[in-house]
Amino acid sequence: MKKTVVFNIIQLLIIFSYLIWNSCLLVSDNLQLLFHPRNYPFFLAALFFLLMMFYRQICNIISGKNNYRINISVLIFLLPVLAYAASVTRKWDIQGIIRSQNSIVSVPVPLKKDTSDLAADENLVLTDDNYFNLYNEISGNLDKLTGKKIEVSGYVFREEHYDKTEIVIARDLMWCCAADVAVIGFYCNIEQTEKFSENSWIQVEGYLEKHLYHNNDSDKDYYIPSIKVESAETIDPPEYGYIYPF
Amino acid sequence: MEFTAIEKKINNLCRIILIIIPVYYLFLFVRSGILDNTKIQELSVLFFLMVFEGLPFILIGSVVAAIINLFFSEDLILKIVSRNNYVNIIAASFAGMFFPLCECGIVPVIKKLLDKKMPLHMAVTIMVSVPIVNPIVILTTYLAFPGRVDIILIRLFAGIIISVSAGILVYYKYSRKEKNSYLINACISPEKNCSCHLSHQQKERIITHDIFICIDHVIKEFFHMGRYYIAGSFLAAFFRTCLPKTVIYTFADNNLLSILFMMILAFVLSVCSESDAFIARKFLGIFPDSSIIGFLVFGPMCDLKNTIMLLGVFKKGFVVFLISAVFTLCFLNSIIISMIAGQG
Repeated sequence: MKKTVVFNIIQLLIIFSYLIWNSCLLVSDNLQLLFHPRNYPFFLAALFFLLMMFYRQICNIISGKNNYRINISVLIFLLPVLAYAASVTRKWDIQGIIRSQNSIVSVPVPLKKDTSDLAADENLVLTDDNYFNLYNEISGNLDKLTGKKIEVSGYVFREEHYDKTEIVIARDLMWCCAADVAVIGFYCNIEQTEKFSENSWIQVEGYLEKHLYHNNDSDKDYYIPSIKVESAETIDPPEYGYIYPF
Repeated sequence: MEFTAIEKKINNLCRIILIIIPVYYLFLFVRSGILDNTKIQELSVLFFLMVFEGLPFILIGSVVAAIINLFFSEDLILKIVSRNNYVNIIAASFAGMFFPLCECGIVPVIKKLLDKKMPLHMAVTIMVSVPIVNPIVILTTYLAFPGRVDIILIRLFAGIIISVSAGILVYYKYSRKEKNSYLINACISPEKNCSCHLSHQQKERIITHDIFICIDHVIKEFFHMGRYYIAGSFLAAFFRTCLPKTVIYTFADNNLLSILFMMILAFVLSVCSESDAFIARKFLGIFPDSSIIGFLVFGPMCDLKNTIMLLGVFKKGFVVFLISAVFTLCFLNSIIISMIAGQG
């Protein structure tokens, strides 16, 4: 067999594997787990280009021409596809793995803001839509907002060094795609934490407090918002539960 | 040196063995349950996520490059470029405001612009500035640092000043040198005046087969830049998986070392410029602001993924020069900020 034909067939197989990989994501509903909805048009454009490339490569094989000579290094293209295939066939907890990668961002870090638009009698009810704004509002105006009633839901997250009663009611913040997800949330001390297993979703009502937090990694202390819990109950987890800042 | 037929056969056999051995070991690793290892899982997931994240933008960058190749003649590029090199460099530093591409998508475009005889200093300024001086990055920095207008403005202006300075440095060092002293596969002969390596017969058919020729270019760019991007993603995923959390905070108390460390961290983590602001935010109050600026400014301009992609376009010497220049400029910028802020 001519070298050109072999090159073309290898290129076709690689384009085909990427086409299948991306199509599987689209069909299997996994796309929302991995990609920000804002970027869907780019993903669909990429899928369209792959389809065109696949068609063109078949034409190239039929006409017997090759415009790009490849070498053995081209096999590197198969590695990410194989990694994805391994994650699907072995049923890895992709969301859990992403969270463990990003766990260093677990509690709000104070910002110099000192201006709050919230009315004095307004309660802090965090929903998917206002979560990031209120999270920033609270981080930047901790002194002013301490004592306010707060209602928030999220999954139970614990750093390795936490005591039994310490948890973070966490959410996953997605800017662009799952590789950049950051874990954010509110620290709280809660009794009977055994009722709430890690990653289970809970809804908490309580009062906002100021807590001197010791960051084990940096070995530094700083004030963070925490919640004095009045009531906590388990809720059904949302499908993906991402917070999109924009 | 010419190979004999037997040497060629041995060579081919060696290549086949080189493929079979890793596949065999991969099979053994899978059988022995190494894929159940947490670190291997983290590495694999992060690796395919990073490739998946960048793939659409590499393809879009390749399509833009193919369109430039087809519809932008060298004359048009020369018309756009002013006679004053400094004006060119300053204008190039604002390109990202109109074409907000990320650091991965811009590389194939720059490669094609250089083929179309865009001056090197202008192309480098565009390449360095586009991932940082663009509306999406300004917006994400604003969202990640609400109330910290100083950080947003410093990031933007430092991006402009450093990309302009890098362009000027490249102009002084490389403007009189031949293209083949910094470009891989530089097209210097008139007969090969197109980087597409398509024959002239095929070129004559461009009018009737514009779209197919365009797709051929995309295929070529995809296979050429893609392998560098995947290799870069693997290395970045490897470092992100293996970097112990506590190491990150080792130099937090030393101003100079923390700037250096945060810049190296930005390089190694290779986080997309859209989302690096929030990662930088978590270091606020722990690291000096000057080192956070170092992270925010250097990361989008140079990172591991992007550097490996550059090695597919430029010669090693040029890549080392460019990264050293940008690194030094970013470091000086952070030092000046720390002196102004009284952190020195």
